[in-house]
Amino acid sequence: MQINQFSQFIAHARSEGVVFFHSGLLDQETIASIGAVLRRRLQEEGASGTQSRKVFATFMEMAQNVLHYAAAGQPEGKFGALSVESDEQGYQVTCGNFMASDQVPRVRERLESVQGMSHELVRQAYRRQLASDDPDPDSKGAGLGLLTMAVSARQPIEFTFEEPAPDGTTFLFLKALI
Amino acid sequence: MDNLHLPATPLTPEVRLNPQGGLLTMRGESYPENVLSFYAPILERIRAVVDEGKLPLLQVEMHITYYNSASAKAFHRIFQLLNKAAEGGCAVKLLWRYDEEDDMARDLGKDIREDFPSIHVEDLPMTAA
Repeated sequence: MQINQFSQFIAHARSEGVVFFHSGLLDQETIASIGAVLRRRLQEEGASGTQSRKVFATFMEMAQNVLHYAAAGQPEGKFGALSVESDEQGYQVTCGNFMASDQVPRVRERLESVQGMSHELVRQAYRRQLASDDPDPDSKGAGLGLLTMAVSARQPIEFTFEEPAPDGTTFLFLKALI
Repeated sequence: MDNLHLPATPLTPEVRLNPQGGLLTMRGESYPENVLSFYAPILERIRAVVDEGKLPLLQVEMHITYYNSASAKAFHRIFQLLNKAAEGGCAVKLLWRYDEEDDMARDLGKDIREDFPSIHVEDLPMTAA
């Protein structure tokens, strides 16, 4: 990137309210380090304690999802793009990662079902999942991760699947407004 | 039974279990890479203490400043054990400390009170320093 392009890149990120952006391979160590940076950035931004906690918790669950659901067959590691932006009402936390295309119908069904729940229903589902001894064997996070995001968000979690790629993977975006 | 002490790390809380003194303390953050492998031995120790059935009282103090969803599940398992101990005659008191701005922890405290009626829960919101 030329220096003048970099300058535009920074200006664009500022005008979009980008507080934090990471695009690259993720492992637990990376997640812990970028989590620490995100906390500091939110503090600098003057986010309230409550907001900052919800943004951090949502970010962490999304990052954890990347580790759990990132498609197998990525020998170089698990790629994830994570971004936190501020808007007039609060923050937007967005995540993108590859997942196995054959899992898409199941994940879509779960996302749609949580999208259709009121905040109160999300809380009830969260409590049920917490108490359940028999989590969905396909969901390594017991489905609690998505419900945790939904509990923190001010609106239902948005999602988009890109067209499946020939290598059997599909790119998934999740977005939470906090 | 021996005491257990795990010092805090950036991703895991300090854990102290002193069966003679009837004390269990957990403080710090909880988002270990593998939640199961961190909490399984702790659950095992608590289960052993509870199964012995000799404990007249147990004071549990928790102040977890951040916990991920998988850790919340592990806490639920711990509370199940403690509730069982309480039903077996042990006086279990939970000091549930949380930062006052932490809505999730506040709600979790309420849920514990409702789901585990035999545990005496003290709700202790902490003012940020």
